[in-house]
Amino acid sequence: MAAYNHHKTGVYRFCCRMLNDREGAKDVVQDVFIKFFQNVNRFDGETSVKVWLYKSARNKCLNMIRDRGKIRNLGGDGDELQELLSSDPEYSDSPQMLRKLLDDLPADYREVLVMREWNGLSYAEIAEALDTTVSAVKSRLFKARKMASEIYKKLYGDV
Amino acid sequence: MNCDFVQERLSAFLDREESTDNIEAALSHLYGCESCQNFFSTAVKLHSLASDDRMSYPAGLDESISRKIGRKQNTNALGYQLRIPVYVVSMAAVILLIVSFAIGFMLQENMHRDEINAILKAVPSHVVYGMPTQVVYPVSIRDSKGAMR
Ligand SMILES: [Zn+2]
Repeated sequence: MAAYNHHKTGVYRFCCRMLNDREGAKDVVQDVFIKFFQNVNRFDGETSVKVWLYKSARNKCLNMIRDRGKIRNLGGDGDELQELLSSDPEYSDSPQMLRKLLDDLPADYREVLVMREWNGLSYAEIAEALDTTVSAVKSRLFKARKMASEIYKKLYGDV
Repeated sequence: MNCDFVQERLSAFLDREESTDNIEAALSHLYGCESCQNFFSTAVKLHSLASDDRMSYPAGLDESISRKIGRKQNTNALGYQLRIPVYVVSMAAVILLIVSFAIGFMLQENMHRDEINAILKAVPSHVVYGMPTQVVYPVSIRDSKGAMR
């Protein structure tokens, strides 16, 4: 239970910014922690738990993003979804700029940026969660920031 | 020095994941390069916005998760929920106990004395009758006349 209380807000924040959708984030957080409690005896240390939680949340978020893409590609409710997200009270307080910026980033850039900037994970932890190397994380974060910088300039002009 | 190379180092520097030895050359490039200055200032701005972007954990999610965990633990391997009242389980246990005693008693009654004697003859042994026990000695400890050694 200590791990749940320690990481729940961070995992929720990660999912909110990955999905840009509060209800979707709640569903993912719920699934992640239910799976965590079912496998709780498998974990040996604090780092392992933290990485496992973010890895699991990331995979579930990517699945959800992929499923939404399918709905949009089927000529579905892309606009309705966007409207639903805009009316979400969770986002009325958050800076519109951040939402738009993250929304325009590809998922593989968004995940490293959110893990680092919103959740403060170290490069080593991100590498473990994404099954990659520290130097790949370093490079991907730079590219994510570069693209974020270009999107920002396009939307709002120079800083 | 290539701008991408410098910006990758500046990005890692912002995350405190770059050693100071590597950053000096990147910083001296930064002073004279507008493109890298733009990159760095946006990265710093984003860093600050992200740190301020706090959100509270949704009310009711704790309860929803603990309710679902509780439900999962009462679910068997097939995924069905078994809702059996405690008194039914207790009664079933008592009935099983009574039935097992009854079966044991019936088997004992049905075992015929002749069958017991046939078994005793088949196995070479010396039998001492007594009350209430019956002791069976193996044949190896009898002498040639059949008396006990
Ligand atoms: Zn430059």
